Amino acid sequence: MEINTSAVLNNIADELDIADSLYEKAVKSYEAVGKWLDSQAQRFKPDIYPQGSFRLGTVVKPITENDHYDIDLVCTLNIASNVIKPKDLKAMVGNWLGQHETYKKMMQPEGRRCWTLDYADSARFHMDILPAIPEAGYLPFIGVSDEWRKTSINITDRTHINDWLPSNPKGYALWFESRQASVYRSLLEKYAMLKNAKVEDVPAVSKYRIKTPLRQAIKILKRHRDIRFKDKDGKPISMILTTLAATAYNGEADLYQALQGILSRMHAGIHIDKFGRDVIGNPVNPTENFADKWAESPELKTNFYEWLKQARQDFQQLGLVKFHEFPSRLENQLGKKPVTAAIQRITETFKENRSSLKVGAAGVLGVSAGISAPAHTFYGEMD
Amino acid sequence: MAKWINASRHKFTAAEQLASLNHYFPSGRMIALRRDYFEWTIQMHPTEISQEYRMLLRYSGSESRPAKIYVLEPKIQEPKSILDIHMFSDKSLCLYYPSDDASKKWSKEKLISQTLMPWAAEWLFYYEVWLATGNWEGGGVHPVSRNKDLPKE
Repeated sequence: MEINTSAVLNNIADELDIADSLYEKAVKSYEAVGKWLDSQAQRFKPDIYPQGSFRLGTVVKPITENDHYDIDLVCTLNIASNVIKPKDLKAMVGNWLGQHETYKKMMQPEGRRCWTLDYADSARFHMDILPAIPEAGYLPFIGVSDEWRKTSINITDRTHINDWLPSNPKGYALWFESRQASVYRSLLEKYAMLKNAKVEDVPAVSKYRIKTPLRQAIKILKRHRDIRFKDKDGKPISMILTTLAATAYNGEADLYQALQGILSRMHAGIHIDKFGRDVIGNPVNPTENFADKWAESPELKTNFYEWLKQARQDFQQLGLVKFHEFPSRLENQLGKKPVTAAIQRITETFKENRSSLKVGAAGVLGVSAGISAPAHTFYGEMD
Repeated sequence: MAKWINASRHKFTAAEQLASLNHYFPSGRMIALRRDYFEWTIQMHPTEISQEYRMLLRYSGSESRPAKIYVLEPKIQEPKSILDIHMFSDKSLCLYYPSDDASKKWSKEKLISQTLMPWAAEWLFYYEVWLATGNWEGGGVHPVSRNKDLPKE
């Protein structure tokens, strides 16, 4: 086990992630909702799946201990767009949820595009359920590969209640995965070997948890953003951070290098259209601009660039930071708790591997060949 | 490494200890050598991203505690009680517990290069964790008369 900058960053990212037990709870919860809707929607051949950070593998803990996690679930029904009105689709899904004894008590007032279930108990989840139908191919998705095209959907929006809005969360997830394909593949194989399973037998929910450098880097950047905008409005949205990071990522297997690379290239994902407006296009839905609000609210643009500048300052020289300095160096940027806990994790791993410890010629611990250190006990005496 | 070392009751001479140290830690430097006495320094760092430490090993065969290791540089930050980070009052590192069984201690029948030196590297790691977190995670024992309740970890 090597202790270097990437190892510290990986442990920090692990600390920022949702805890395993809570993740399992989240999966159980959304699978249960999916099962219920599936039973109600049978004739519409429903396709129910997570989107957003639970699908991409980029969930971060909220900064405040008791704040909630957002779980995004898509519920696509196989109905043609000329056979049902958007508001009727929305109402139908809402009704099904309302017919469930438990869910009806958890339902929040109707959202703009979703129905929300509040898991108010210890679980602390807000689950957004997005009703949708397949998109029949009316939109000119120029430059988008067929594989991503065919997963596109139509969703509803209360502010445009008679119109279908195109979206493509599945396609986005596939695009995101394509950005980290080779590194992800080798980590997946390692994971399968560890679990004595075949790669194809690894359940999807485990696949979403595999900690690739891209996913780990995004968690760090999201937390960095959360802390900077703790009591402020106008924080850069996660879709922007995620899209720019995934676009800038160049397949680096080392987390520190991935983070440096992402930070140095992220800005290049922002284009200017012929009207001079900033565009951060959805790679699988060219009609969608994640920066569309920047035109009417210029502080959003300023906030993004200031955040990026700060992130670069905070992370690009991290290779110079000494092991013992990490908490003091990063506590304001990522929070004292996760950084200290990361050091503790590293220490636990070190202790677990103590019996096979080898020490190198300059005293470096954990080298592959060196002196075995026998077991001993530290002591101390005023002599 | 020759196997006869562990089997015999041979007490290593200062010269033998030094030879072994120089073999395993070639960047080390002897700075004094007398009969049954030597001083030897080396730069060490416990992790790839650690600061560099200049260590001094002072061996004096006639003393009750013949082998002492000190950190010369940088200055060790000290808690209220240096026992918390397992140092002697003379600032040498305390790397083994006198009441432990022989396999966990150093004595003249053992090579410093195979015991005290790797233990010192480990001490440096735990020292850095202590700097980072405020906790000594390396376990250890405090003298009974001062802290009866501290269990051996």
